[in-house]
Parts: sequence; structure tokens; C-alpha cells
Amino acid sequence: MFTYFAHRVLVMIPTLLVISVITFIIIQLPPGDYLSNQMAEMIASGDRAALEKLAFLRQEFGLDRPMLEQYAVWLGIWPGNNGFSGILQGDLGWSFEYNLPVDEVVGDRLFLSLVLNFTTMLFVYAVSFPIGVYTAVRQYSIGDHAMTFIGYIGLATPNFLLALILLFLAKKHFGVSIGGLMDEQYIDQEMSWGKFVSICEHMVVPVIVIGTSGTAGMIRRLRANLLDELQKQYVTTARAKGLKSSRLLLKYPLRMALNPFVADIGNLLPQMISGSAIVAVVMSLPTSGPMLVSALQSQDQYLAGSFLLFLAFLTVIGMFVSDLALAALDPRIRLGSEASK
Amino acid sequence: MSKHSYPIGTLVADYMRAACGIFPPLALMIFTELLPLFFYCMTALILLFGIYGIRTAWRQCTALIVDRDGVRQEGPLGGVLDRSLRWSEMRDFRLRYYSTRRDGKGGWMQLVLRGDDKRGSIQMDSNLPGFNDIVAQVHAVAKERGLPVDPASATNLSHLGLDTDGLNMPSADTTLPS
Repeated sequence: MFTYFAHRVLVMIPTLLVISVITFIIIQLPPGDYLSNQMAEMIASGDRAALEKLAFLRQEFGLDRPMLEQYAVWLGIWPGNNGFSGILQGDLGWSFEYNLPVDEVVGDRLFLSLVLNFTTMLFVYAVSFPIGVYTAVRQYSIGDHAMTFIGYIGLATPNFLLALILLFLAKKHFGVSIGGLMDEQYIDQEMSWGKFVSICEHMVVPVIVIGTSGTAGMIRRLRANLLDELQKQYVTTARAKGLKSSRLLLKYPLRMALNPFVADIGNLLPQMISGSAIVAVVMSLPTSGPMLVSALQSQDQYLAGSFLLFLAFLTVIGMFVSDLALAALDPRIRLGSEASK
Repeated sequence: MSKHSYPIGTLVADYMRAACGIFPPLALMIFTELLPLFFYCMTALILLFGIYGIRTAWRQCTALIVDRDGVRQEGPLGGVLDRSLRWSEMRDFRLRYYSTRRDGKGGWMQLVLRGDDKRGSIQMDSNLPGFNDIVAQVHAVAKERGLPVDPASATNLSHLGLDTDGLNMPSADTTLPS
């Protein structure tokens, strides 16, 4: 296992670097950059000094350098105007759009995104797990049919549509706006008990909206996996030997059915940051999703790059954790792969 | 009696991995002023791959001697950390398969043998010449003595072409009432 751990770490680092290089390059692929776009507007409005200002700012922010050098400086593995000053040194760069350091811009939004999406993840697991087990154990019962029907609706309804419907219904029938993640008086305020309560109250609807499709999908997967396991011979053998149903279920089939869930950890971590972008726009949630979309649209390269690097980091870490867990849970050779070297 | 040791050709890749895991983080720590979080991460990487490199060197100097009575692991320290296990004292074994590729190919197997005492285990992997023969011998001992074989090991044994009928499998196992 130690060898596997070391090999896996060694695979993870270049993967992360390659992903970050590619995302940085893709951000810069459209012609121009944030500054040149801004300057074009100033020139159009008759500002003659704009070109000189543009040249100065491009040099100041290192935008006149080759793309890979900009990347290396931003990462902190190559000296820039201020020596080594990049992500590895704790400097995420400058947001042109907000005219602030990226870490200050990201600030609360990243935290709120984490809280919202982590709560959603807990909601998805808490709801889907018992329902998935129930529908598999009581296959073709009324409860199974009812849950399956609700699950299909959940899968087929886009999150943002559900958000719009709930916004409309809440406004029409209760006269309240359920958008946002806290009451207006708490926006840009320090965290307090009142703000915490307000966030918790406002979080209920977004959690349900974002979690519905995930819950439905997970119920279907758990049901299918568990049904597969329950039909295997060892389950029949164990039943014939008189093992209690609950013990049998928990000890063998459920454990085997969990493998796809463990493998899914890799996708869960990045979703905690970016998974709810469209819903966040619709419901005016102050999370990181809309900011990432806006940064990509305006080519605010360091802000977008920081987000994407963080997402890549979470993806790679998630895959790493899920691979380790799978290797520990089920270190079997798969059909079709080599028996040994 | 047969003597097995890892050929240098199979260890070169491991030495290179150790170097890749040690020198780039070390260079970053020396030439740049890292954020404390990244400094600790780099230190952890250097430690991890330092241990990995030492372990590879240890494997290079280690030989496994297998005979009808058991298996003996002889290291470079003149018997200080040597281990031996008689087949009659083997309590259980594990045959694991690991691969870093998504399709599960290109991996390696690891055999861990454990005895009655708690003086540690004897480990070897499929890079060792004669690995399949050792596994076959362990399989025969497990069958003869009725040692418990976990499902993962049983699957891996069958992929090596070894018959799993008659093995003490836990799916119809000791935890179930008879």
C-alpha cells in the first residue's frame, strides 16, 4: 500500500501541473486580455493617453511576457517583477475587474460556497442512502415505485428550473423573496450569531434545489448496485445458513455496493466549489460560481486562474482519496487487466 | 531451495521516482520562499520519497530464500532485521493488486505473509523473479492447512491461474453460523 501511495502521489503532481497549465492557456486563448479590452473602451471614448497607460500596466502586471512565463511567475516558480511572488508564496495575483488582490476578492464567497455545497452533499447522502437501501431491499413494493417515480422527476428537472419555480411560488403565495444566502442587513458584515442564523434559514431552499438531482441519481445508483449484489450466490448461501437479514445486508452487499460511491468522491470535492454556479446566478447566491463565470467572461486571468487551479487541485485530491479508498477496500485485479508484470 | 532477489533493472524506475519526489521540492524550498503550508507539503513529499528511496535500496540488498520448510528474508544488516516464516507457522496471507491507471492495467501484485508471532510480515511484489512460483507454494500451503483467504486474495489467485476451490473463503465464512 505504501508503494501504491507513493506512486499515486507522484502521478498526482504532474497531473495537477498539466491541468493548471492548460487552464491558464485556455483562459488566455481569446485575443487580447482584460487590460486591452478596457483600454479599447477608453480609446473609443477619446482618451489619447490610454495607449501609454496600457503599455505601462501590461509591463507592471507582466502581461507583456510570454504566456508560459506569466504562468510560471503566477505559480511562483519563476521570478517576476517582485522576485518569487506567486501562489506557492501565498500571492494569488491581482484581480483586474475588482482592482483588489485575488485572495481579498475571493474571501467570503469561497467559504459560503464550501458551506452551501458541503451541506448539500450531506443532504444528498442523508436522503439518498436510506431510500436507496429501502428501494433495493423492497424491490417492486409501493414504496419502491413511489420513490422511483419521485427519483425520475428529480433527475429530469434541471436545478435552475426548480429554483425559478420555487422563487415564483414563494413570491406569489407567501410574498417573500427566497433569493440570496442571508438577510440584506448582514451582507458584508462580520460573522455573528444573527448572520449565522440568517444563513442557515436561507440555506434550506438552495440545498434542496441543488441537492434534488444528485439525490435522485444517487438513489438510482445505490438501488442498482445493491440489487446486483443481493442476487449473488453468497447472499443466498448466507441466508440459507440463517444469518440475520440486517447483518447480512450491512456486512457484505452494502459494502460492495458502496464502491461506486467511494469512486465518486473525486467529483464531489470540485462540485463543492463550482457545482451550483447556475443556481447561484438564478437565486442570487453570493457563492464562488457566479464570480468564476464573470472572471472567465472578462478574462480576469488571475482570478479565473486561481479558481480553476483550486478546482483542479480539489479534483486531483478527490481522485487521490477515492483511489486510495478503493485500493484499500477492494485491491482486486479487474477482468481484462494483466495478472502481473 | 530457491533464492530470489530484485534485479536492478526493475528497481531503476523506483530510484527515479524517489529522485523525482525529492529533488524538485527540495529545489523549491532552497531557491524560493514558500508559504508555510506549501513548505510543510514539500517537506512531507521529501520525507515520503526519502523513505521510498531507502526502501528501494533495502529491497535491492534483500534476498528471499524459499524452501520446503518456509521462507526467509535476508537483508543487508547481517541478520539484524532478517525475518523467517515456516509454512507450518503461517497464519494468513494477502495477495493484493494495485494499479495507478484508470483501466487497472499495468499494475503490480503484492504478497504479504504473516505468521503466528507478531514480529512483522514478509512482503514481496510481482517484480520479484519467481513471484508466481512463491504464490503457488503459498496457495498450496493455504489449501492444505485451511488458512482463511479473503475475497480479494482469492480473485487475484484465480487470475494467476490458481484454483480457488477448496480454499477457506470468508464469503461462506467463519462469521456465519453453521
